[in-house]
Amino acid sequence: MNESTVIRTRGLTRYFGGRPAVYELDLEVPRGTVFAFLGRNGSGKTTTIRMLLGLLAPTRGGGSVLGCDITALTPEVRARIGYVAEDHPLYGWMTVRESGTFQASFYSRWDEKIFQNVIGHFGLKADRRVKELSRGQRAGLSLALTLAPDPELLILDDPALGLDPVARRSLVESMIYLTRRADRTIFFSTHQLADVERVADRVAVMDDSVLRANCSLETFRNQVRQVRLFFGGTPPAIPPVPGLLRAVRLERELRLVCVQANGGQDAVLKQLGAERIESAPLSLEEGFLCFLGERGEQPFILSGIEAKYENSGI
Amino acid sequence: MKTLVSKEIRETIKLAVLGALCLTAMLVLSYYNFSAQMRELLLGETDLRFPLQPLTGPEMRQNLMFFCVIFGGLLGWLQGHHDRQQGLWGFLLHRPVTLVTLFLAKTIAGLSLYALAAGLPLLVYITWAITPGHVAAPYESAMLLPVLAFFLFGLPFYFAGMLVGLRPVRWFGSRLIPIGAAIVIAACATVLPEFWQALLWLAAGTATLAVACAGSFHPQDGPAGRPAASGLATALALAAGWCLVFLVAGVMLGDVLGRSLPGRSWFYYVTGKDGMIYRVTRSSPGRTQITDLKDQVVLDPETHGPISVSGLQSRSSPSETVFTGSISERRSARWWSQAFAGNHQYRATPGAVWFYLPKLGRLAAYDTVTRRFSGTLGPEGFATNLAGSGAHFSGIRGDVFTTPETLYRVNVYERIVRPWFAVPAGEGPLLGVGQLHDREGLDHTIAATSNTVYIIHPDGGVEGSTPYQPSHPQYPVVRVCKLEPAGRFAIWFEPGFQTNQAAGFTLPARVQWINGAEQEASVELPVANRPSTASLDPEQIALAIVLPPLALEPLRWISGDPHFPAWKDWLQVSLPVTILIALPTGLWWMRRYRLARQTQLAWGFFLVLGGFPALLALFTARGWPARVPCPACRRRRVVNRGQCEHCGARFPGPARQGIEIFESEALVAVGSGPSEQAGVAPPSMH
Amino acid sequence: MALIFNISAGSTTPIYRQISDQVRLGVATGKLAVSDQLPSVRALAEDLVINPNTVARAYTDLARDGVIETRAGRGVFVTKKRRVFTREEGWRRLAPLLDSLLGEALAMDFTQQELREAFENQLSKWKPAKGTDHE
Repeated sequence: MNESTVIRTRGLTRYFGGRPAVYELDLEVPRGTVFAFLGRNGSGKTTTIRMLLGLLAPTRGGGSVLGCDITALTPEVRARIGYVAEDHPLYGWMTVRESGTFQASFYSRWDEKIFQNVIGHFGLKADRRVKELSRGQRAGLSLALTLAPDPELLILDDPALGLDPVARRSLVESMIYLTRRADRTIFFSTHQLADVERVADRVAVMDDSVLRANCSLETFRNQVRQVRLFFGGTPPAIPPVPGLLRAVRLERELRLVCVQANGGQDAVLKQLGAERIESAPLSLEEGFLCFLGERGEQPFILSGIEAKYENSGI
Repeated sequence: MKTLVSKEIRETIKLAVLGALCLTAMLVLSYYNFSAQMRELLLGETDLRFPLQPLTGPEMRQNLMFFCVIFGGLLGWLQGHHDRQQGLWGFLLHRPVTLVTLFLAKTIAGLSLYALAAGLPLLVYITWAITPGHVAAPYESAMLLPVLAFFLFGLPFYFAGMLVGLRPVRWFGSRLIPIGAAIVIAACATVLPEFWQALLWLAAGTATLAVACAGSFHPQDGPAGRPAASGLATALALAAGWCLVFLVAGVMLGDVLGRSLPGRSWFYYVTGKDGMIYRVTRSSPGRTQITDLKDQVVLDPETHGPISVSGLQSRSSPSETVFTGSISERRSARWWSQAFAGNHQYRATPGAVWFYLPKLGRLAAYDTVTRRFSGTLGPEGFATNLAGSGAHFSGIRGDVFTTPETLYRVNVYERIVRPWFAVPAGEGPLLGVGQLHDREGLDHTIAATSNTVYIIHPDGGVEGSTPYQPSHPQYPVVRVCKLEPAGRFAIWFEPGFQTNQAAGFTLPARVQWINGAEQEASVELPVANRPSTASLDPEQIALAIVLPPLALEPLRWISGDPHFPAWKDWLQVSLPVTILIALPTGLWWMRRYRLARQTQLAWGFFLVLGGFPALLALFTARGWPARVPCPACRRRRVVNRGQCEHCGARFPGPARQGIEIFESEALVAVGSGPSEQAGVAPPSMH
Repeated sequence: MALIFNISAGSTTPIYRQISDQVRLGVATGKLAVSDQLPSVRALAEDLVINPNTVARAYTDLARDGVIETRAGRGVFVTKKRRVFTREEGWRRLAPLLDSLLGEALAMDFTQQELREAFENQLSKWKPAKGTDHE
C-alpha cells in the first residue's frame, strides 16, 4: 500500500468538557511532503497529533494514517510511524545505550548506524542516564530513537521547544536527512518559523481549534501581503477590506496586512484616495504573526504617549 | 515482550525489594517473639498467652494480610501510574505491539515480583516452621490455608491498584473504587464454606479485575474500540466497589434512622441472683425499661427510682449457655473459621507444651527443649505416639474433657487422665457440655443429655439436675443461671432461632428453678428477641434501599447473622427502589447519550440486579461527552454525535473569517461544504 | 565551486529567491564562469540545511531563465550565454543601487563631472565576463 495521502482526517473533533480543542478538522498530508503544523499554544495541535496516533479518542469524526483508521492502529502501522512527543518523554533511568536497545527490540528495520550517527551529532555519550541529559540532548536521543527504525512517516510534536540554536540546527539537519528518500513524510508542529522556512513544503495553521490555512509555504507567503498607503493628511477610517488581518494607522500612512483575496481588495484600497500605494514584502514570521494575531485595526502601540506629548505642547 | 518485561521489572524492583525487606522484618520479628516465648517457657513461666505455632498467631496473620494487600495494591498502582504520565503513556502506547502485549508484560513482571518479594520470604519461613525440631507445636497443612489465602489476596489488590493507576477518570473519588472491589472480593472469599470455593472465587474476582485492567490499557478513553469483555469487567468491578461504599453509607444511614425513628421495640430477659426475672425492653437507643414479669417497673430500694441497666448488671446472675443441637456448628461452617479454630493451645508444663488436637481428640505434648513431639494424652492415659490406643476425647470445655459418656479431668503435669463424671447408664450420650464461671472462681460444669441437665460441682458431685427430655424436644438452647444462695439455679430452655422462626416465633421459653435436685417452679415466657416478621428494622430498610438484590446473598454470608432478613422481606424494599429509581435513572441517562440498544439492554438488566451501585458504575465506567446548545433548536445536544438528537441538524463547519488560505495540491480536496470555500486560487508557480 | 551561498531564514526574501539571486549575481560578476558546476540539489540542500525542494525550485527558475542547465547524469552547470536578468529586471535591480551610490556621493559634494570620470575609470578596470553576450 502506497497511498499518495499519508494522513487524512474528516471532521475530526475533540472536546474537552464543553470546549472543542479541535473542531471539524479536515486535513490531508500528501506523501513525501514536509508538513509544518502551526498555531499558537492551545490551538489544538497536540490534541490533533495525539488523536492521529490513537492516543486520544476523537469525540466525533475520524481519520486514517498510512491508510489505517486512527482508532485502530495496528502494530504493523505503528512500526512505520515515528513519533516524537512533546517534551521528549523517555525513561529517565535508562542510559542512552539502553534506550537504544529498548527501542531496537521493537523494530525489525532498526538501523544502528543511524542511531549512532544521530546521537553523535547531538554529542551524546552512550552510558549517560537519560534523566541527566539536557533538554537538547533528550531531543537528540528522542530523534535518534525515532529515525533509526527508518519511519515512513515522522510525526514530531514541537520538537524544537526549548532547544538551543545548535541543537535546533541538528534537528533540522535530521529532518533534511529523512527527505533523502522522496516517499518519506514529515508532519511536525513548531513555533520556529525559521525552521519552517528552511524545511517545510506545506504549512497548515490552526487557530483556536479550527484549521485556517493549508497550503504550500510559497502560497502562504504570497497570500499574506503588506500594503502601505501614503496620504497627504490624516488617513481615512479603514473600510472593511476583505481578508484584512491587521491595520496600523500612522500619521500619514495606513499599513495594511491582508490575505490576498479574489481581486475585490484592490478596488477597496483604491477608493481610499491614497497618494501612493506600495507593496512591502513580509517575512514569513511577520506574515504568520499577522495571520494569527488580533485581527483588525491596531492602534499604534505608542499612540497614548504621543497624545501626552501633544497635550504638553511639544 | 522481553524488553518490556525487563523494563517493568526495572521500574518496580525497588518497591519489590522494599516489600521483601518489610516482610522479612515482619517474619524475623515474629520469630523473635516466638523465641522469647520459648525462653519464658523454659524458665518456668507457664502462662500461655502467646501462640506457639508462628503460622497460626493472629498477629502474624493480621500483619501478613495487611502486608499482602497493601504490597500487592501498591505494586499494581505503581505499574499503572508510572507510565500514566502524559508523555510516557504516549511513548509506551506507540510501541508497535498490541495492547494486550503491553498489559501482559506489565502483569508478568508485576506478578513475578510479587511472587518473589512476598512468596519467597514466606516460603522460607514456612519451610523452617514446619520442619520438626524448630517449633514446639503441631503442624497441619490446614494451617497454611489462611497464609495461602492472604498471599492470594494480593492478586485482586494488585489489579485493583493497577486499575486505579490506569483509569483516566476526572472524578477523583471514583478512581479508588476498584480498591473497594478488591476488598469485597477478599471479604467474600473468607465467608465461603470450603477453601476450594474461596480459591475459585478469588480466581474469578482477580480475572475480572485483570480484564478490566487490560481494557483500561486501551488508549481510547471513550467507549469506542474497547472490547466488550473489559467493559463488562469494569462495570462489575466498579459496581462491587460502589457496593462497599453504599454498604458503609447504608450502615451510617441506618444508624441515623435507628436513632431518630421510633424503632421496633425489643426485649430480653435477665435473671437476677435471687432468681427473679427482669424484662428489659428497649424501644430505641437510650430508652430502656426494666420491668418484672407483670410489667411493673422495678424500683431500686435505695433510690426509689427505676433501676438502671448497670444496676441490673450487678444484680444479674452468672450464666452459661449450652447448645445441644448443631446450630453453633452450622453458623461457623466456613473454611475460614475452621482454619482458625485450629489447635487448641492447652497448657504449658515445665519442659512441654500441650495442645488439644480436635481432629485427633487428644492432647499432644511438645518438648520445649528439642521442640519435637513427645506424646499424647487420651482418655486411656499417656502414649508416646499420636493416636495412642485409638481412644479419644470428643471435645474440651475449659478444663473438662469429654467423651460421649464421660467427663474427664487431665493433669498434664503428671500426665494423668481421671474420669470425673459419668452419665448414668441408659441415659444416652452427652449432647452439650459447658462451664459456668462465676466471680469467685467456682466453676460449675453443665452437662446435658437428652434426658437430664446436670449441674456438676468442681469436686465432681452433681449439685443440681432437672429433666430435659421429653418436655422440650426441639429446644436446643439450655441456659443455666447460678443463683444465691448456693445450690439454687434457674434453667432456661429456649428454642433455637431457626426452629422458632419455622414455627412463626410462637414457641415460648421455659424457665425451671431448682434447688439441688428439687424442682421449685417453672414458667413459660414469650420468647425474647422476637423479630417482627412484618417489616425490617430501620437499619435494614436503609441497607435494603441502597444495596441491590444482587448484594443480598453475599451480605447474608458475610454477616453470618441468623437474624438477617429473609430474601422476600429484603426484596420488598430493594426491588421497588431499584426498579423505580435506579433503572429509570440509568435508562434516562443512556437515552440521553444514545447508547446502542444492546448496551442499554445489558445495562438495564445489570441495573435491576445491581441497583444504585450499578447506577454509579454506569456513571463512572467511562467519560461522558459534554452537551452543548444546538445552534438550530437551542436544546443541549451531545457532542459526540454527528447530528442533533432533537432536530437532526448537523454540527456547523468552522465559521469562516475570510482569511482562510486553502490550496489544493491536485489531490488534496479540503473543506467539507461547497459554499464555505473562501480560499483562494493557487498562484501560478511555473 | 567558487560560489559561497549565504542563506538567511526569516528574511523578507524567500530562500529559493536568495539562492537564485546569488547564482545570478555570481554569474553577473564573473564569480561563476560558463560551465562551472553547481552543487547538486541534494548536496546544496544538505549544505545549506534547507528542504531540497527549495533548492530544486531555485534551480528550476534558473534553468527556465537559461542561467544554468542540467546535464543528464553529470550535474548542474552554468550555461554559456544569454542574459541572466531580463533588461527590465536588470534595471529594477540597478536603480536602487544607483540611487544609493549617487545619493551618498552628492551628499559628499562630489561634482557630476568628478563622478562621471570616476565611473568611467572604475568601469575600465572590469573585464567583461568572457562570452557574455551584451546585445
